[in-house]
Amino acid sequence: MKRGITLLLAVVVFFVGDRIGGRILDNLLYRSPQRFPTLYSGRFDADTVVIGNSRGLNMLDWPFAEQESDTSIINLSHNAMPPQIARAIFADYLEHNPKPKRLVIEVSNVTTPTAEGTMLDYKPFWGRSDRLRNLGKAFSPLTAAACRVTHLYQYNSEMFLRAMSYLASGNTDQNAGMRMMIPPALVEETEAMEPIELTADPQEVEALRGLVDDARAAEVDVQLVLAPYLPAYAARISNLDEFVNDMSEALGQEVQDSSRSLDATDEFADRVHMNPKGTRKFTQQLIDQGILK
Amino acid sequence: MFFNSLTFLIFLAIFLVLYFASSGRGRLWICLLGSYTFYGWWDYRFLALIVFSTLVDYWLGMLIDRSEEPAKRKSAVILSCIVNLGFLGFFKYFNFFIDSFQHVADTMGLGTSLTTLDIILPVGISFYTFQSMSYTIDVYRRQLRMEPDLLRFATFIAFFPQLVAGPIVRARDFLPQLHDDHPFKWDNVIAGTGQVLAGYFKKVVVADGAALAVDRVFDQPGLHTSIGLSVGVFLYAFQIYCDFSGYSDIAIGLARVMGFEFPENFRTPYISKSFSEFWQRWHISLSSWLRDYLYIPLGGNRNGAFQTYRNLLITMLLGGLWHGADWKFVIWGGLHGLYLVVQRLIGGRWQRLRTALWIPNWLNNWLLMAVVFTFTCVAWVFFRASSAYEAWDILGRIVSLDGINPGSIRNKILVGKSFLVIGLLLVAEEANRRVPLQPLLLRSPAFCVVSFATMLWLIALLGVFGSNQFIYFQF
Repeated sequence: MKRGITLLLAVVVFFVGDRIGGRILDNLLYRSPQRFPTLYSGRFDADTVVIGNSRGLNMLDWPFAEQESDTSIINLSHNAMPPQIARAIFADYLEHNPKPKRLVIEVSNVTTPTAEGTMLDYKPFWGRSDRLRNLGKAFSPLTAAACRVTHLYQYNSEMFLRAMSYLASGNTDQNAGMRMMIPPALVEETEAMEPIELTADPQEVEALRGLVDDARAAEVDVQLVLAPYLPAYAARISNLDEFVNDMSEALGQEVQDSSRSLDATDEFADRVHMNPKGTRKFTQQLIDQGILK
Repeated sequence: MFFNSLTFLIFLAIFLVLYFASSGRGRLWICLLGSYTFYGWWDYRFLALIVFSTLVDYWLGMLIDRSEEPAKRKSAVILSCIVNLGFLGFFKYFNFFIDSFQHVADTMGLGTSLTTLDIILPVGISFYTFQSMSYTIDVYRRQLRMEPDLLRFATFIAFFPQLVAGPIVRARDFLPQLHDDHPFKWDNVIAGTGQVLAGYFKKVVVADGAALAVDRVFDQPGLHTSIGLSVGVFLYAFQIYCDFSGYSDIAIGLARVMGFEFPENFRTPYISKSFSEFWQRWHISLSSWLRDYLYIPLGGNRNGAFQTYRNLLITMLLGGLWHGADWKFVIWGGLHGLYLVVQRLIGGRWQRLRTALWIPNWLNNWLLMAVVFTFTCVAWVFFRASSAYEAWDILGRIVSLDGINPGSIRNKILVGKSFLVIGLLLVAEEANRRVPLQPLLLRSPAFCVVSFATMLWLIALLGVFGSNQFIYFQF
């Protein structure tokens, strides 16, 4: 019987520690200078908000952009961020922070349907975002239930780990782009690839249209961009122009087609992401085109 | 029904209530029906296969035990091997041999066109066929008497904790335990639960966490630099160790809760100072099975150096093939065979050199551990890569040192998290080596409470949940 009490005590200690741990982690999370804790703490005040997936993250040299455009810019893009989450994030941004003048959207995120793992990675912010919580719950009711059983589980997320690493370093992740040079073998592999097509997921297009409409309703100027691809990769996309036209039509506004605006292989980290050299060059293009200014 | 699924936890709760509420033959029936339910959940069609295999070996075991004619006994044990290996060969290797033969024929310019079949591999077949064969062979060797009770024998074959991914439990270790009714004991619950929790920590925190980073490396190795690939290989070494030993811990822990004692299947293999020691610490139930039923019957090390090396290579090549129907597994096994041979060839010379160079014990131990671990990782590349060609390419790119800047490592967050939890694992394993933790769980309630709560916190905060199958399920 003593052993049974020991086991019961272990369970009790687990739950008590779980609740205390959850509060501590929540407190730590919103002290982080990472962009999303900063957003939900209402510490942003920017003229321009940029949003998209990792291509959106890599398309902007943030300190250079602010310096050259003489405006304040926040890049809320994140790896694999789908339009459904982008829409929720931007709506939350408007709720917690002063309205920006401009929203720049990198539109290639419509080609990737929202994955459950991606959606649930934002669960650390469910405490301050009903929109993200509802999206997550729709994807995985079991996860939502698990987060009620164990509060620690809500912080079981790569996003949370990133926030902690930036808390430790004291830096923001505004400029967290890819730093490497594309390997020559990958370029060769790309040149030998069969042609591919970009396919927009209808649900994601609808969500992106919703994001555009939300921004317009809030009287925020919207700019739509398709960021550069590795030249050899862009050449393999057989429906690139058609994709741009379709997106322009679906979103009710012309998409600035910059998919081929960089022509040097050494400006890329891989097929779809620029490296710092390419990012700097493209950021200047965005400024020159009036998209960031 | 994966161990790390909600369905399994519900099944387990119901099973344990019924198990402890019953006794005698009733309990055996609960075990058997529960095991068949567990197995049938994967694919009910393969229940017929395991039942047939059980009946064949039960009957052959009876024949072997009751017969005094050497020829008849030998024929029966050979028939058992043929049936078990026949099932294994067909379900696991039919298409592999057809494709390989086709490849050779095409290379030689022969105009053959052979058909492969759409065969589904029954889960656990590699394990229960070996377990069943060990029974008939031990009965033949008169190391064991036959089990007269079919219910008990069927339970031995199908016992769900170790059915689908081991450990391969010998009949002489498990069958006697099935003769006893094991009353509910809190000590067994505490010790078993501790091992189950440790298994879950290894699986969902370490193994599945590392898998997130490892998969990104091996899915697109071309994107990664030399150091990135090296990190991926290192993490895979711990992914496969924790995935497999985690499953074994859960299986052994569950059995312990029910009152059964299974032998350990892993014993900190990465601290091995030789390859022979590695195989005494890694997948002990398989390596001992191969030793007792293949290596020793081939002659072992009794007939001179050349035959010893031959027997080692054959055993390891077949051991590799057991893992999967692909040449990369054969290469993996062959590499380990080669390591064992080379160790025998140069082991003595190293000892003399070490003495001549006055290398202290502690340094010698660390050097040997590093060498064994490094070459084990080289072999793991073949295990994980999509093909032998890709494995060669990855190893070539690692050795080329093309990109050794740590900044070039991708997915740093996932990699960092993996290193952190591997560190925790190594600390825990070292602590367990110095002060066995399972007896401490029973002696100290405070230690039990703290360790259980801590493992649960770590699982909740760092565990990766989803449908991440155990790696060895595919074997």
